Formats: sequence, C-alpha cells, structure tokens
Amino acid sequence: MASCASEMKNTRGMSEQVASFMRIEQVTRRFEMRPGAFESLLHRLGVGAGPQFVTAVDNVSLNIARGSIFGLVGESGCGKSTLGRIAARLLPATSGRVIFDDIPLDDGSLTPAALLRLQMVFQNPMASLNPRQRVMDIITEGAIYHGVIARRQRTDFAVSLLAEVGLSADAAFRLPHQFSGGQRQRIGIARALSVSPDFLICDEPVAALDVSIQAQIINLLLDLSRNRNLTMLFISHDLGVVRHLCDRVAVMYLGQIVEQAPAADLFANPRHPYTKALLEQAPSIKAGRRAYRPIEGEIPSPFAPPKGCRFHPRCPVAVERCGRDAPPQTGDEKHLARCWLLNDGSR
Amino acid sequence: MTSAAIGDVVLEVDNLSTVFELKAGVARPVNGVNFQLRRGEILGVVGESGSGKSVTGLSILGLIDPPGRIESGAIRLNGLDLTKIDESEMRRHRGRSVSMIFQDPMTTLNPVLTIGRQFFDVLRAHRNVGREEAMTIAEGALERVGIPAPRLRLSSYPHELSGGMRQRVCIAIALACGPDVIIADEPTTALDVTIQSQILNLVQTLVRQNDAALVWITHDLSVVAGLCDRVAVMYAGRIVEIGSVKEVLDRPRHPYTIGLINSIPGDAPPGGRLSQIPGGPPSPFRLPPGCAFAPRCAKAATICETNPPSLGGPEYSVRCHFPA
Ligand SMILES: Nc1ncnc2c1ncn2[C@@H]1O[C@H](COP(=O)(O)OP(=O)(O)OP(=O)(O)O)[C@@H](O)[C@H]1O
Ligand SMILES: Nc1ncnc2c1ncn2[C@@H]1O[C@H](COP(=O)(O)OP(=O)(O)OP(=O)(O)O)[C@@H](O)[C@H]1O
Ligand SMILES: [Mg+2]
Ligand SMILES: [Mg+2]
Repeated sequence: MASCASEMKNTRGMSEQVASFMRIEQVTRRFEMRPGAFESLLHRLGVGAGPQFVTAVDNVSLNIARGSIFGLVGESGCGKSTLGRIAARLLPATSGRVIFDDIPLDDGSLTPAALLRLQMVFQNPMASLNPRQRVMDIITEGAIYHGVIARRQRTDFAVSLLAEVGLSADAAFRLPHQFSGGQRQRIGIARALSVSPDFLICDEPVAALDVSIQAQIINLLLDLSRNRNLTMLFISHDLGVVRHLCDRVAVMYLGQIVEQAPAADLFANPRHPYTKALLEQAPSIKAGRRAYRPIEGEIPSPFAPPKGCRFHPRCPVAVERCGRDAPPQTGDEKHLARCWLLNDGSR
Repeated sequence: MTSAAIGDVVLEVDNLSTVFELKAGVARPVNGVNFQLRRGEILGVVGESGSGKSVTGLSILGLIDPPGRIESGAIRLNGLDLTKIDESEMRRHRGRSVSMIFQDPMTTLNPVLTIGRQFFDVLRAHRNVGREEAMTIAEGALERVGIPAPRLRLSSYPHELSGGMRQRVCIAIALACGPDVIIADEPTTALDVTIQSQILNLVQTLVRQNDAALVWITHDLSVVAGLCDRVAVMYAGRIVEIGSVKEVLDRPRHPYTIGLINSIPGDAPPGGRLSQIPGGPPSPFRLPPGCAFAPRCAKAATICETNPPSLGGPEYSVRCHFPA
C-alpha cells in the first residue's frame, strides 16, 4: 500500500513540469474598510480610525500542476481564504490574473459548464449552505441542472455521495441547521464533489472533523486525486494533514508567499526562517502538557506591514538589510524562498 | 496547574438526555450524559462528529429550541438545577454565570454591527461601563487573543475578518464578562498552533485566576493533551470514557478511544491511507440497543447488546464490557 502510494507521488511529481492546470499570476487583492456611524463617533473620541487599507494578497504567483494537491499554509489572517476565493472566481483580484486550463478566469468566454469544473469547499459551512434547502436538494441540484445525473437518479446519487463523506441516508431529508458542525462541513464537501469538478479549492475542509472522520475524508480526497485526477488547492493550518496529503506546499506570510517546495522537501529542509518557526510548532499528543513557544514578537498589523522583508521584526536571524529591502524569490523552480540570507549564502 | 488548585463542584450534569422530535422520528443526540466539573478545572470533550458534544453544551445553556427538548436529567450550576428554571431567569445566568463560545462564530456575531459595537453591547448588558471604557477593555481583550492592530479592528465588520480572527473575537467576548463556567465549542479549529497556544495559555490563566471552570470541546487530541486536566470521550450521545488526560490518552481502555488515537496522521507514510475506524456512527434516530459502538467494535460479543455498565469511580470511568 505504502510503496504504491509513493509511486503515485512520483508520477505526479514528474507531470509537474509538463502541465500547469492553474496559474496564479501576480495576483494582488486590496480591501478598503470604511468606518460606519458608530466608528466615526469613536474616531472623534480618539478611539476608532478613518478608512483603512489591507493588502490581503500581495503579488502572489503559483503554478498548480494537473492532478496534484497543492497545500497553502500560514498564520491566521495571512490571506489564504482571500487567495482561495480569487482562485475560485468568487472574488475579483485588484490586479493580476488567474489562468485555469489555459483560459484566463476573467475571460467572458468561460461557459457555465467550464466554471462548474472549479468548486470550492468553504471555511464556514453554515454560511455557505442555504438554510431552507434540504440536503437532498443541496447536493443534487447542481448535478441535475448541469446534466451530470438525471432527475430520477437523484436519490441513489445523494445516498452514495452522503456515504462517501460518512453521512447516513436519512441526512438527505433534513435541513442544514439540524446537523452538527462536522456534518455540515461534510455536506459542503459532498456538494462540491457532486458536480465532478476537475479542480477543488478546499478551505480548511477538515478543521471541524474528529481524527477518524478526518482520516475518511483525507482518504476520499486521495482516492479522487488518483482515480479521477482531481487537482486541489488545499488550505489548512494543520501541518500534519498537509504533510500527509499534499504534493507541493506554499507558505504564506502577511499576503506574500515566502517559500514553496515539494512537500517532502519543505518539511525536511525548510529554508525560510518563518517556515522553520512554523514547523517547530507542530503539536502532538505525545508532547503532552507543554508550553508552546510562540514565534517571538508582535504579529504585525496588516494595515501597515513592515518595510523590507515582512517577517524581519520577528525573525531571529534578521540582518540590517532585511529591514530595508524586500528580498526577491530565489532558488530553483522546485524550491523557492524569499529571504536575503539564502541569497548571499549557499544557493 | 496542580490538582490542589481544583476546588468545589461548580457544574454537575446528571443523566442528561436531549431529544429532537422530528417528523422523520425521534433523534437522541444526548442519551444519558454524566459529568462533574470543579472550579479551576479544564475538562476536554472529544468524540466523533455528531456524537452530541454541541447539543450537550447547548442543553446546559438552555438553548435547545423545539422540536428539541431536554427529556430527562439535571444540570446543576452552583447547586441550582437549570432545567427547572424559566427562560427569563436563564437569561440572567447566561453570559454572566455560564457562557458559551459557539462552534460557528456567526452564531455569536451580528453581521451588521462592528466588532467594537458588539463588545460594547455585551459589556453593558453585564457591567456598568461607558463607551470609552468599553472600547479600552475591548482593545485589550482583542490584543490578548493575538489580533494585530486591535484598535483598528474595533471598526471592522465580521465579514472583514478572517475565519480565525472571527473565532478569536468570540473568545474575547466570552471571556470579557468573567463567567463561572465557560463552554468552548471547538473554538480554535481555524487557528494555527502558535496562536492556538497563545489562546490556550490565556484561557488556562484566566480559568485559574478567576476560579472558573472550562469545558473545551475539541476534536484535536493534541490540544487536549496540552490544555486539559481531564478528558471525556463521547460516542453516540454518551460519555464512554472519562478521566485524567494522562490516564485516558496514555492508557485508553475503551475501544473507541483507542481507534480515535490510532487515526491521528503522523506515523502513516505521506500519501498513504490513514487508519480509520471501520463503519460509521449510528444515526441518532436509530441507536442500537446496548453499546452503540458494538457494530464497529472488533471485541463485540452478544453481551454488548446490553448497555455496558460504567466501570470505575468518580475520577475515572469507562463504559465497556471488555475494556482494555
Ligand atoms: N471583505 C473584506 N473586507 C476587508 N478586509 C478583508 C475582507 N476579507 C478579508 N479581509 C482581510 O484580509 C486579510 C486576510 O484575510 P483571509 O480571510 O484571507 O485570511 P486567512 O489566511 O484565510 O486567515 P484564517 O486562517 O484566519 O482563515 C485579513 O486581514 C482580513 O481582515
Ligand atoms: N436541531 C437539530 N435537529 C435534529 N437533529 C439535530 C439537531 N442538532 C443536532 N442534531 C443531531 O444531533 C447529533 C449530535 O449533534 P451535535 O451537534 O451535538 O454533534 P457534535 O458532537 O457537536 O459534532 P461535531 O463534532 O460534528 O460538531 C447529530 O447527529 C446531529 O445531526
Ligand atoms: Mg481563512
Ligand atoms: Mg459540534
């Protein structure tokens, strides 16, 4: 079993250079926050603030190979969901573009059927499910509408889809609020899979699941990626899951990609000081009661990110230059990192 | 930190059963839950998705709406049985004596009000504070849960925050009123370890300082290992094993607990299939007679069709005919 798995990994690794299924090219997304009435009052009291800007995603470029599972990790608030929503075409980029299977996503020529190939599993399942729709309708409507199945097949289809995500058949006749958090998350996964997408963007898809169901979902995603060549952008803060599932991983910090590499390489030889700090934190039940040592220093404000390298105020090895100039991305195609110290050093 | 700091019983859940009477039948998501919580104590609750963790929490807060109801049992908070009081009295206790951090942050957060405004409303409901003081308290509370630029965030709307930020805002709001018992329902699922550890430290300190007690519902056993004093393992509406964290995680005795610990990724080779407990949990509409885990259990025998007794004492107990 295990050796077969690593063979699969190898063939997928090789196809990496050949076909890039999704190309994210220099994508930037800025948000403006305007103060409301209560805030204007606070502002006058000297508390709140005027309009503010956040660059949630800052000039990000990624290539996702067909059939691969691409992991995206990074601190809360670093821009992972924003990037995921742009890739899913749910949010426009301020600049840059996303090319999906050789077609730019903002191209008007994309047909609804083509867009169906791109599905997203949301971080917050409750907000993404229609509260008045029965699960049966939630998970079969798209498939019927787009002719994936005929209407008379819907019950069988729903039951088998529910079984795949570990839910019993009686779930089909209930409403979203009548489920537990983890069950709702799996309804979101079933809905996304119902239209047989080629590309799946998963935003923390197993965060609310206990380890046993999590294992079932991860096994399901691995099967789909092997048997149906499903490509995935997999956002997660769980490094154990990412290491297990992903072929390639990008590490994001304050809107930028600071490192990306094949998963095995990244976990064995992290290059960027932030990646190193992140990996040191990985928890385990064996560690028992322990004091985690948070990464030193304040998390910088996204409203006023640090100059130079964004990580430098918290970086244990920063030199003077790091506070002055932004480091370029260096390394070879396979393993890229954005750090001055790597630049001068070995590679 | 030491067990010497753990005080009197503050919450006692006694044989609690909660049902939902739907057209399709009667669901029994909570089916005889027992546990005690002492001041200064942190109890972790783990268990399969759908095992009744959230419904137990909602029952304690008196938040089960028809067609659901508490069918039997008692919930004693400082000796007062919450199942016997009416909604207006319950409302006085909610937030002040017992508060809940919900699994879905949007249950707590109002989408059309800013974070600052929501803090203000909550603080004013329980404490006599002015606007400026409330904002200072709120800013400090957001800072302690690791939200950068907390002052500016007071003017943000919930949709302008990331998933993990929303969770932290809810934690900060729940902690702000200093309740006796906090029920935290998967409050850190969207957070990475660094921030999670910062919050765990904060919560630990607060619980001990205020002599409060905490129920921490999670599926993350490493969080349980790092945060909790005791742990309860739920399966199909019942606690199947409960005891000190060390006892339960190092020497699990219930077959379900053992399966759960074996499913953690980490030892499996990357890309390989993970160990999963075979089969699925029973539907709460059709619980099997006797031990609900029996249909998935390698050790099951005929006797498992009868309800297993609870073995052990108040400190540790397991419900199984054949514990390891
Ligand atoms: N609609 C919006 N309006 C204003 N700011 C936004 C909006 N959406 C996101 N942001 C901001 O963009 C930044 C990145 O948010 P995002 O949700 O992408 O983070 P994330 O990496 O997914 O975090 P988490 O792990 O906590 O979910 C945050 O500072 C957030 O406040
Ligand atoms: N309002 C409701 N009506 C009917 N059934 C419900 C309702 N709320 C919950 N349930 C059912 O009760 C069972 C227990 O749900 P609960 O939310 O307590 O699970 P949980 O242990 O918190 O799971 P998770 O880890 O997935 O959040 C589930 O099978 C769920 O489908
Ligand atoms: Mg997110
Ligand atoms: Mg729950």
